[in-house]
Amino acid sequence: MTTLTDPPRESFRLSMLLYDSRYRSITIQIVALIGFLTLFGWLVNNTVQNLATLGKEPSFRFLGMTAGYDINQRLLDYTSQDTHLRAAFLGLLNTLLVSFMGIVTATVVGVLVGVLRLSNNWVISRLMTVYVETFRNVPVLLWILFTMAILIGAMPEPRAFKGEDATAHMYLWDSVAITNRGTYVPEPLFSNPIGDVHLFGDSSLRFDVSLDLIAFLAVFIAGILVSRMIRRRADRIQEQTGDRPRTWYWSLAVILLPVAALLWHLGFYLGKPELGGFNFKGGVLMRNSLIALWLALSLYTAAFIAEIVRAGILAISKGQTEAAAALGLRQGRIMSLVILPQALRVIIPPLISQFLNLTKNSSLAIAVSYMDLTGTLTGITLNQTGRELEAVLLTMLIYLAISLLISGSMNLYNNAVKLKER
Amino acid sequence: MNPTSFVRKDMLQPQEPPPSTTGLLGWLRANMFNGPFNSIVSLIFLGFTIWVLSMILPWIFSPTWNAHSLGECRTILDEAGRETGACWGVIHERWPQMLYGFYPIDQRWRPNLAFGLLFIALIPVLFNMISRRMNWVLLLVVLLLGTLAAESSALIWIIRAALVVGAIWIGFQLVSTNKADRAVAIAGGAKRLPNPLIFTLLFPFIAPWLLWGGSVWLPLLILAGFFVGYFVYRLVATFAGALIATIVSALAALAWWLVFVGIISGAISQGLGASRMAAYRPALEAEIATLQEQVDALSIDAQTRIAENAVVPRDLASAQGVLQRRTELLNRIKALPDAEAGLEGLIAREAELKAELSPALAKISKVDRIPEGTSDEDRAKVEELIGLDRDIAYRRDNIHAVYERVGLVGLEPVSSRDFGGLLLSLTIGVVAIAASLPLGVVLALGRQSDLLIVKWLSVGFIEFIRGVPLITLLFVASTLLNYFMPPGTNFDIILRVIIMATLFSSAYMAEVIRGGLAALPRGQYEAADALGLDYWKAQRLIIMPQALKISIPGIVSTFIGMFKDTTLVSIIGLLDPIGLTRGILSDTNWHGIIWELYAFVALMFFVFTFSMSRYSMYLERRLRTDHR
Repeated sequence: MTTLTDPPRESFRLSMLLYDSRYRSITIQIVALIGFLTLFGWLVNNTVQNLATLGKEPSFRFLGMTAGYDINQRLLDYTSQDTHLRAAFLGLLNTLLVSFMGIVTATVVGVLVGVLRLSNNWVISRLMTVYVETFRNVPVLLWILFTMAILIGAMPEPRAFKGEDATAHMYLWDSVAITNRGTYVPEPLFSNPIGDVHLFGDSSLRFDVSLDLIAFLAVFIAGILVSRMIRRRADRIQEQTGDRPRTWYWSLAVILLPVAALLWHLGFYLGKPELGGFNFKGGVLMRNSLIALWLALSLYTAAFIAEIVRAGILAISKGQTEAAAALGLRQGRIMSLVILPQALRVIIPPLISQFLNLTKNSSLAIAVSYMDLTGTLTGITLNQTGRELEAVLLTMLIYLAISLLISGSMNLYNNAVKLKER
Repeated sequence: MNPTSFVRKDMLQPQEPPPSTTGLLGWLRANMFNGPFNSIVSLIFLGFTIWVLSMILPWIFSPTWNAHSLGECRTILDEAGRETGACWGVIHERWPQMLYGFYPIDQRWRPNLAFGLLFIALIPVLFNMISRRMNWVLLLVVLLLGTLAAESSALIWIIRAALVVGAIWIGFQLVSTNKADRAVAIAGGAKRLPNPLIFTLLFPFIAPWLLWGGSVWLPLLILAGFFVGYFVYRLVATFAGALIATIVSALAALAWWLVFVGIISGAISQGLGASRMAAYRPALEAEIATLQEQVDALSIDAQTRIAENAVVPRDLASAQGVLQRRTELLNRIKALPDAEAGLEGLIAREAELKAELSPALAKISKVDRIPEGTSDEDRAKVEELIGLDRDIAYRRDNIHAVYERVGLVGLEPVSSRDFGGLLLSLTIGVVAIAASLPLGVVLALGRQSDLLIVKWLSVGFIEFIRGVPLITLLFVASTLLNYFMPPGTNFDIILRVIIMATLFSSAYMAEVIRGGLAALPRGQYEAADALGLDYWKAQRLIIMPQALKISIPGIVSTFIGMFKDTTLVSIIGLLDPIGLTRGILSDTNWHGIIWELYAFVALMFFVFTFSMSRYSMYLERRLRTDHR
């Protein structure tokens, strides 16, 4: 009789690296890593050699040199005597400005169009379809150039506003002037300001923060928090008694009254643009490049957002609407209490990537000479200093950081609203 | 029993629906005027639409198609008594340029043929319900159209006749057989035409040759690389196993493409060029003389036409282009003896210098590597030697280029600088789209992989590419990519742009496909494992077909996005349709025309992207296997 014995222990053989699935994965990974490092090393080596031949050893010292060019649309003080770093910083702020404006507008327009496209009114849904298909199927660069051409070609010159028989007129009680140089909007001013905080002293990243603005934001956010407390109290009362107290005037009051008081205390007034000579003085000038970029990017992205919103709403089964209607909810409440909260879970992830796309597409500013990060660092700075490698690499890293920040924060929000499964 | 009881024995005829719910009126009531609010909104939006159309339509329908300049447009509009109107003359005059850029006029049949063939190559992939015979008929017809553009000669006529006969024969068979009978015959083992997918696989080798031209053996040699790989695999697999054989055959194919293709094709061109050189010059001179006569005749004709204010045919520009290229070539050939003599002189001088210098100094290839303490005289010699080295290499390349051009068997080379317009967008778009799908699949699998290093490499690549704007990647293509290559490489700008565009869209593609992979139920993976399939078989047979099907909408919208993004190349100075509009705007005749050009470009893109999105909807419907 034979007894059962352990199978003979297999000793490790070299061929097992290839043919034994336990070890093969390690082999493949090591080969992949070596391949990648070889490729990377080869590229770096080539680059170092090529740059050495050209006498352009990588160095970021060019950022400290005088830029010598002007940035006409800017959020902070800047002269052509400032450094390239300062120029890039202002470019970055411009990128963030147009991205922020674009994201807000695109979301509003997109959600509106997406909901209207589902309207049972044939005219409206058709018009929205036409809008979506026209904007989605034409390159965004073309839209930017097109909007710019409209603004330059079809808007009146500043001197058309002049004289008795002016051919153009200002809008909104003489506070907004749309001209072919740009749009002049009123500037918020304070006769009794608290002052500014100067951050970073005299360095290239110097930054003035208006304390008035901070005070305003603080009061505003505090008002919103208080109004949320009021709403929670109303919820509590509703759960106990079944009746919901009317709270909207309380909410409005705690937000608006403190803000109004603060503004009155600071002596708030609007500095309207005034026609002086052949141009406007006062107010804030939003140049056509900014407006064109902002409008084109937001309308283009809004078409995509509309489709996302529509898909999100369609993804909610009809039974939900019917169940809500059976409970006796009105049309608007069905949308806000039942459909949208569920649709939001489908909508938000693709919405994030649309926000990212808009931010990245804002680099097309270079086509209309809006001085964003690409226009300054990868545009004029690169051409003046000839530092291609450093400028492009730095630009890429900054965009990467912005993208990761946006997607990170939006993912936090997504985690907050998504369905909590047990 | 009640005698008056009544039981109906037949059914009532259904009544007509009330007139207010049927027909146009009912439709209007249901969709536009159900309720006062909706009615008002409908009227407002209808009014808005009519207002917009009333501004745009008169502008679009403007009788300016034959104008030669903006001024003429204005005169025409004034005479017609109209205030506004588009100036379509610019499109009439420039549309060939918007389509082809500066591609030589006499060679434009090549991109036409290439994109006609692309359509044929796509048919088996896009619509696999079309019959093989139909596909072959279409292929023959496109080839026939292609031959129409070539110069007539006996050979071309024979080819044309063969194509016509082939197309009619297959077409006749197609019409004369019943579909059901044919299906039975095929099931019984009847002979079928070869699968048109063969042509689809050959197309990537034919198209670049058609577009860029060059000798016919270059694509053949590149194609041969696959056979080299295959034979090496067969050879090695017999004694070393499948995995090693795969690796070795891939290396062998790479070596073939990177080293041998260049050497062999260079040698053939060189040999042919040298043997043809003597006879080539007189023939070229004769050709130039006839061309010159043609151009003279055409330009006299053109002058009379201009005087009569009629349209000048494009023959003149075409003939001028050919004449210019031939004259250039002749000049290069004329300069050849001098260049060769000069090269010999330089080589002699190099040898002389090398003999004078010590062997250690003679090997130095960079100025900054000259050791300290070298005498001034030696230093000067070394510097001269280094300069000579470069000069010799440069001149040798130039002389080789002339020989290669003379030894050309195939299509006249067209430089990348001449590509432009829609041709450029399509070239970049199609290649980037086609290449990004397989790359995206690989990246997506890498990201889903259990192999940690592979996974992190894929994640890093995907997230980096997705985090930066395409325009920065194009800046990399235009300024940095040459730095990344070995010193002295200077490869084509279109190729560089295509590489970066492919990398860009493959990262997006990878994310789309990863979504498809994640959407597959876990059971599919487990079932594949339970069947005992290995990783690749499971992917190929079970996972990928389903994942790709789920991701079709995403894949197509990535395609559309890529095609639209090709317009960004205008920012780095390539002449795509938007880049060309700048050139046209600076033309004095058309200075100030923007809307017409932008509208035309927008229309070109709209046609492609809209049809792509419709196709994706069709595909989704056709591939839907669940019952809804």
